[in-house]
Amino acid sequence: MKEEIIQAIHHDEVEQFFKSIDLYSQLVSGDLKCTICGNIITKDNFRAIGKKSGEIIICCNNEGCYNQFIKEGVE
Amino acid sequence: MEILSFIWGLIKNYGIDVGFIALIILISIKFFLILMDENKTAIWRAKIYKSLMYFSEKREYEKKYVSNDIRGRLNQARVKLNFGKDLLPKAVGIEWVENAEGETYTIKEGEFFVKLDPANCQENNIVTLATAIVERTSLVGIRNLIEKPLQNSIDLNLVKELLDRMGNERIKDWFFSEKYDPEIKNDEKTNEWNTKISEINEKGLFLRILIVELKEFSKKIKGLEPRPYMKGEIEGLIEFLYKYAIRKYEERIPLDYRKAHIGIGFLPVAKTDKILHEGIEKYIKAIAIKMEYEIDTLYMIVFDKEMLAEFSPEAKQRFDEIVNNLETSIKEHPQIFKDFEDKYICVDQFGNRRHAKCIRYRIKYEN
Repeated sequence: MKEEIIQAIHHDEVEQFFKSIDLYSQLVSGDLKCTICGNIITKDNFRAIGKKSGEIIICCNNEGCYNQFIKEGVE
Repeated sequence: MEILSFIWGLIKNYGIDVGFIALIILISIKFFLILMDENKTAIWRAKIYKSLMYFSEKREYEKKYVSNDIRGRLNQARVKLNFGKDLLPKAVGIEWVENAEGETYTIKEGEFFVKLDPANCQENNIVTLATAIVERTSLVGIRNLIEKPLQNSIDLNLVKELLDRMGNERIKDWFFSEKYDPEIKNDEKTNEWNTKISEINEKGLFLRILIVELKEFSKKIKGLEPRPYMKGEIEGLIEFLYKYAIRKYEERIPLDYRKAHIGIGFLPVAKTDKILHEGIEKYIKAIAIKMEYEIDTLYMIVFDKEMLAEFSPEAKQRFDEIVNNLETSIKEHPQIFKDFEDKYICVDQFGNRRHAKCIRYRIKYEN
């Protein structure tokens, strides 16, 4: 059965993940913004991250932002 | 309870040894059936990890519980969705990001990661991933042709159907309160489309006809440059199905929809009087007319006659025989091929729940 694999981040490992992708300092300083709505991304409101056309796309936990991220954020 | 009675009967008649052996055999069969079904296996693994998680509070058990539970439940529900012969959306698998301290990683093009909530918010996790799976694996090839409010409405109804088959009211309640209702209320266009999609869904035509036809449409236009008429064809299909769904008793409406790439015709078998007194002639003539218009897909929709059975079992039997004759005549036609048949429950024009059957036929024409 061909599966669509979703890569998941544990809610307590968000900081570790951002360190591994070298975006931790931006997360802590408030420089990361939701690509959809522009809200500042924090450890608590972060929902999803991906890459499209060479750009990092990041999404907050707003449902509308998440829907748009899933539909358009990545292919 | 029946199994326990059976075991008890064996013990009474043949002794405790035989009863014990029978119990072991039954448990082994149950265990084997669970192992053969990977979704059931995942659900059982989730239950075990959930227990381990509560006793040990170890993160690895929480991860294994969350991923197995989501995978088992979503994939089991997915198998129960009917999209004709295909299974949509795709099955879901979850891989946890495991980064050791100091390890670096570069996100690849097209890759994405989702943060999942704690195990006590599993409803949220299931809805989050159901949404991701539906939106990533449905409407493939035609999503860019469909305006966003219509996309939202189709996606919401697909997720709703998926969660419905999970049979968990808490998850459905969470979905409706946190996702479905806010999205419908926040956007007027989404609300407008959703009114139509919901009506089509209530009549049992959403999964069996709309989604099937959209999938066929995407195959037909694959490789073609997107054109405005393609958007019109999709929206026209929805309007056609909506008119059929809301038609009043005896109201005459178009039963065929023929455009550049979509050509479907309905053959509703609903009027008891008509078929009992006139037989199948008119239905055969209707099919011939549809073929003159080169309809390439025929949907025969038959409503069950439960009230007729109570009133006159003979008439009900006659009705069933005539419907069988009609199906046989269609089957014998050299150009018509049965694609699938699906029995379901829907709401009819009078608001009554009815059993119905939808049969999809493909019609082939010589070029």
